[in-house]
Amino acid sequence: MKVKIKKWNAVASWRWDVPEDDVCGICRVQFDGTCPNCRFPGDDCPLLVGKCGHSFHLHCVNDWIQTESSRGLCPMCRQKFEFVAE
Amino acid sequence: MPEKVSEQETQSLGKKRKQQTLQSSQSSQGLSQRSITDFLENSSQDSNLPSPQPGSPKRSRKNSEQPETSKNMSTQQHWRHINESDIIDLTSSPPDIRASPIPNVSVTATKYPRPAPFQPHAGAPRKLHIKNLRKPSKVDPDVYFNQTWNSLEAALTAIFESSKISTSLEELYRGTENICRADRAGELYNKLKACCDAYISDRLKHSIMTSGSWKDDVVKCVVSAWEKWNDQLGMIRSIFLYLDRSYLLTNAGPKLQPIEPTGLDIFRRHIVLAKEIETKFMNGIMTLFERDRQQLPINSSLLSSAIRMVDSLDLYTSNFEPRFLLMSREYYDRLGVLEATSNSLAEYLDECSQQLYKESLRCERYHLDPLTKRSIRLILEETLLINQLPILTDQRSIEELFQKQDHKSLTILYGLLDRIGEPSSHLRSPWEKYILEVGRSIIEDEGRENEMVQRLLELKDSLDTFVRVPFKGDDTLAYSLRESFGTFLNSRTKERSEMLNSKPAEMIAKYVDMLLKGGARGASTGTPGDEDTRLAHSLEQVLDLFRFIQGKDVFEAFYKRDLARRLLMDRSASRDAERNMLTKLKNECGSGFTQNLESMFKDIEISRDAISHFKNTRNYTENARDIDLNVLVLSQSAWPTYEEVPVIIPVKMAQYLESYKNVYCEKHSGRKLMWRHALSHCILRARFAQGVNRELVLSVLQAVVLLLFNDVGAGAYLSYRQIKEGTGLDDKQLIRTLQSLACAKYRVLQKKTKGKDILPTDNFRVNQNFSDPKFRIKINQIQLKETKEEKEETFERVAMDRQYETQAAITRIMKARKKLRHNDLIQMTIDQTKSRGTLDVPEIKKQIERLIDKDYMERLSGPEVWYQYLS
Repeated sequence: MKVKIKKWNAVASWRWDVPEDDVCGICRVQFDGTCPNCRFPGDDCPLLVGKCGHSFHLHCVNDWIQTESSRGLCPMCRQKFEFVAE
Repeated sequence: MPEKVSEQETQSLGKKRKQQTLQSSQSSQGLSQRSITDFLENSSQDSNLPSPQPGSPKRSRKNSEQPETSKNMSTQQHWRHINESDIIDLTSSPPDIRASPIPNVSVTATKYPRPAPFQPHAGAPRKLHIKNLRKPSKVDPDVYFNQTWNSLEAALTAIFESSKISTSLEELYRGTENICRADRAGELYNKLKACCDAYISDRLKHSIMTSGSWKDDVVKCVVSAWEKWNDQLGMIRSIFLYLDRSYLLTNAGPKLQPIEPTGLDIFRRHIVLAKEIETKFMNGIMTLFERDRQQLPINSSLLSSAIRMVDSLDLYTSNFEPRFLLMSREYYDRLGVLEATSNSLAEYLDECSQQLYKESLRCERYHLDPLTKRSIRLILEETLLINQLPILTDQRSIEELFQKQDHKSLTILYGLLDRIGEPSSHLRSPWEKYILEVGRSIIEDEGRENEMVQRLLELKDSLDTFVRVPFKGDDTLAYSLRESFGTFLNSRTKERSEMLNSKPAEMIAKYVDMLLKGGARGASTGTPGDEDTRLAHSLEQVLDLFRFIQGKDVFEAFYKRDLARRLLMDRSASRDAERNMLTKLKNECGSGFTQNLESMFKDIEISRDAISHFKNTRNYTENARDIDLNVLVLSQSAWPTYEEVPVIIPVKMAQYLESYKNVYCEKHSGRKLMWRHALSHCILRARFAQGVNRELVLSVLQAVVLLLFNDVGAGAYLSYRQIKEGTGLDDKQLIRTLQSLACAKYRVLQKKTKGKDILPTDNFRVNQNFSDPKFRIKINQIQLKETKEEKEETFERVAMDRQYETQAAITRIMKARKKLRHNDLIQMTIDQTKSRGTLDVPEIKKQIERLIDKDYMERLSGPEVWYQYLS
């Protein structure tokens, strides 16, 4: 008997490309979870990866940057926070 | 009277004639002015004459012609002569030949020798004399009265004896009239009354009492006597009509009544109310009624005439009705006790409704008074229903009716109870008990677990029918139906664990799964419409059950798992139906409930876009052989968690997948893809011996095993260990996979040793003789079949989710309120989580304790328990 693949229905799951169990530096919640204001993880509550190598929930870091005391710096390393464009 | 006319005309025509004469003289004779005046004078003289010729214009013109004038004048003279001698007063009575001439009249007439022309306004007084010309009666009034009465009496006797009346009726009528005119009507009336009185009290009564059927049919005797008397009375009234209409009608009073009432009164006094007749007669009527009720043959026309008679005699309310009601009460009292104790409830109900119906018909048929009809109804309701209430509302019997689905009896029962009060108050408790009993028996029937939902639906349907048909949509009963249904669906007994308790929720989820997979084409047979409509209808029905379920989270968990499987395996019968169901759930439980489910759908959509994007890239065209690739990318959090299964994918396939992964990660940076081979499936084209080509639909794990056999020769065996090394599967997965390939329905592989279990020492080879009529063969994927652990896991996850949900709700509330009383907190928590399932108070308390332990809140000391939120 010879068998040949005709159709392949693959299933994959995605998660954020960050070390597992890593938490957001601002809200201390796992990246796989949501920021404190969201209820559903995933596309609705995305991550923002900074050029400095620190990632945060988009909502968390947004709130931080908008405060005056932040001066646009990364809360972790105090470098200018710039995110990697998608 | 020519005289009068001529007089009047002379006056009125005087002027006219003048003119006419003038005209004619001018034209014909051409007279001078003077001669005209002369003529005028002459004619004016002429006009004073009392009686000129009768004035027609023709004649007056002739008058003016000469030759004729003299002749005319002579006639005038003649007229005058007659008038003068013969004038009479017109206003007096004409002279009567028979009567002697009245001197006065002639005197008045002759007083004026030459009467003046009629002058209406002259005002002379005149007397008018009227004379009665009737001849005075010569007969003595007393004699006449006696004479007439004798003939009347003779006529009366004749009437009473039903023989011919000798005198003519006209004469009798006249006689009565004359007597009445002679002012002796009172006397006549008394005589007539006495005569009738005597007749009835003596002869008629006697004839009743002595008639042949007196002993056994009093009613008949009385009624026929009554009819006879009625006829006679009619005759009497006709003869004495003048008396009746003139004297009696105008002078009517308590002692003096028109003939008819008098006749009735006499009959009433002497016959019906007579001691020896009254009781017997009334009892006779009652007997007739009783016989009628017992459905024995009776002379119903006799009964109705008896009732009519009683009614016309004005004895209906005084004598008949009380007896009738009393007798009916006794009768139905006896009947009620007898029937209620000797029959089953259904039979008794039937009997009652029939009796009520028949009795009302009976009242109609015998023209009983509406008031009597009402009283009878009340009596029946009291004797048959109220007095027998314990039997009517016997719980056990009613439950039996429910069990037998005896709609007819229940309809009657409801109708009967409705007459005497609120039916739901009597029916409610057996109704609820029945629902709980049947419901529990369905839920606890573990042997027929798979039919549970179907049976619940049937039960619900039948209960709804009960409410709709026999209970006429009674609100209370409909409410208690819903309540009881919810109670048994969510019942929680001590010995049953949380898991068993959620059985209905689980089974409903499974049932929905089955429907959406299209496996229930016959689920709701009998409903019209095409497949989609039927499916929608079935879903609606299930949703009806779902509304009762308190553990909605359990349902969600199972539904989610099943939905995931349907989406991954592409097993949904209809995408519209899936969407439809989702919308319904959203409406029921809010968007929070379905968010995850929706994002699952979204993932499928996005994946479809992604794969079509991939197929436009170079990576695809480079790798594209004849393998059709489809990839579903799930966002992990929305889907159920799946165990990761390590497996070695054939190199070429792995490369192919890798190229997809690269394209995906380019597009979505910051993401990592992980293959879920255990969830993947594929189609293999297989060629068996003798050129048998088949398509095999199997899981990737099965495919990987089969692909290993491509590399060995035909008929060669691969050992378990070789397969394990080739696929990289762990023992658990491998054994399952091999079992599905070699020991299940389709045996693509052959095991060297017989037996159901796979042992590490087994060897396998391709089953060269495999054949099946179908071209595409689906090999059951045992690894995706639900296992007990999986189920328990689901429950565990549900329990965990529930705890988190509760804690989250409590924290949200506390955060908003800062400080809260214990009871308020509990209530608000229940309210918040209601859409996802009702929580137990102890469960909430436990979660509060946990939150206190985690320092989210603290308990304040005091007489009442307060909580304070800690930030």
